[in-house]
Amino acid sequence: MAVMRIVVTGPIGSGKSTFVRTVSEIQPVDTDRYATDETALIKPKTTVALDFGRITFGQQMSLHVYGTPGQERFDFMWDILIRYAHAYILLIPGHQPSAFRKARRILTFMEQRVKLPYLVGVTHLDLSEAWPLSYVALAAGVHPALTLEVNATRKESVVAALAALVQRCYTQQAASTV
Amino acid sequence: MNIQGRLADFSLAELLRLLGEGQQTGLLQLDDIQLGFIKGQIVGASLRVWDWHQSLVVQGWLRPETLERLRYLYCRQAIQQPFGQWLVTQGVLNDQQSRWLFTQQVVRPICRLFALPDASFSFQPQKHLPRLVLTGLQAEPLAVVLAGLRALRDWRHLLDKLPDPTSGLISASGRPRYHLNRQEWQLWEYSNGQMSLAEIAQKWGVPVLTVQKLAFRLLTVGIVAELPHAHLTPLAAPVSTPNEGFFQQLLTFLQRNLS
Repeated sequence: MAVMRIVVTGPIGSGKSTFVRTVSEIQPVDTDRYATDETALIKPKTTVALDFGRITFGQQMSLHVYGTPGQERFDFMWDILIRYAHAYILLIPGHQPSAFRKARRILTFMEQRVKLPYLVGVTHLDLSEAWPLSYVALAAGVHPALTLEVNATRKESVVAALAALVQRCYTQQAASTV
Repeated sequence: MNIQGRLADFSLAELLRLLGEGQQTGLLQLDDIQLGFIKGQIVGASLRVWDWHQSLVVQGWLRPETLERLRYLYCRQAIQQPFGQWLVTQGVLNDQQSRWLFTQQVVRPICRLFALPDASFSFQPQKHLPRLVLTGLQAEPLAVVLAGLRALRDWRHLLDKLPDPTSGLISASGRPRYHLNRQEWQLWEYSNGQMSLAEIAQKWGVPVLTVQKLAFRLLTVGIVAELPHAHLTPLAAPVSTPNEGFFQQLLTFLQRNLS
């Protein structure tokens, strides 16, 4: 079985669990628990270990999608999940300026830890208080060319983000073998 | 579309960095205060207590009636230069007086804004302060941030924005282009991700909060980046990487799902 593993990471409330749920062909494995800290102000449940979803295609080929916890006290999971990944997506909630510096921290961690293809998806851009995509990229210290809008509740948006990331992996691999 | 929010979520230091690095032109509104930006530089401020025209009189450089006459001429002739710059070209002010006014009436009041615990903010691109309140001088936002944070005494409103004690620092821009003080240089020398802020504080024999504040200054001016979990070394690439055929089939599958 050939498998590609993609990690979906980002601050609390960026839509990681929703992203996994939207695209998975199986009932996603989640580790959601009722939030008992300030996270409860944002959403009732939060991921404490990981989310897992799967897409099968062709014969003996599948894409595994892992979502990390958003809370920083579970950030040891970033390291556990990223060490087996082939690529990752960082989601940033465009309507939460307080999350931009957290996204910057996560990205610095990932970039130092692994040299993998990645993309940045900005979510919640449909909300009135959301910042424009270009400003979110700037605030999180991300190159605009690596940034795209993602609506984690819509399958076509999530699939488009995955396709863009897979294309990036393919292009990088082709370049490295020339 | 504009950017908007509250300083409690996104600090003034982060905001000035954003506008400076993004080379933005427009008006930053902080409650009832306006800061003008042109191509990422601070060009003026409209503060409630601010009236640098009055300073010209208070300093004894102009009589009130002369100031009134100059303002009248400036407006009537629809001069395109900023008022302060026009006064210099007219020989009314010299360069030194102009710089003094800009520092006293723009830079220092902005530095005091770092003490604001909260305020609503919004940025309106392409809007400008009236030329009558501009001196023609400009300040680099990150230099103002560094000065403002150095002068800040009460950091309570920034505590939740400080880097974590378990984090390390990594250099983000090579050698700093700002004039750092001794402590800032010392901390910058640790920006290799190998020691946490807590360990640095222990080594220096100072409270970790002192090092966190110093680190926040360096972070906000973009000299270093915060690396969660100091000590970690880069991981090796995954053992098995999907081959070309895998990527092609996956892309075909995803694109079919898109249409």
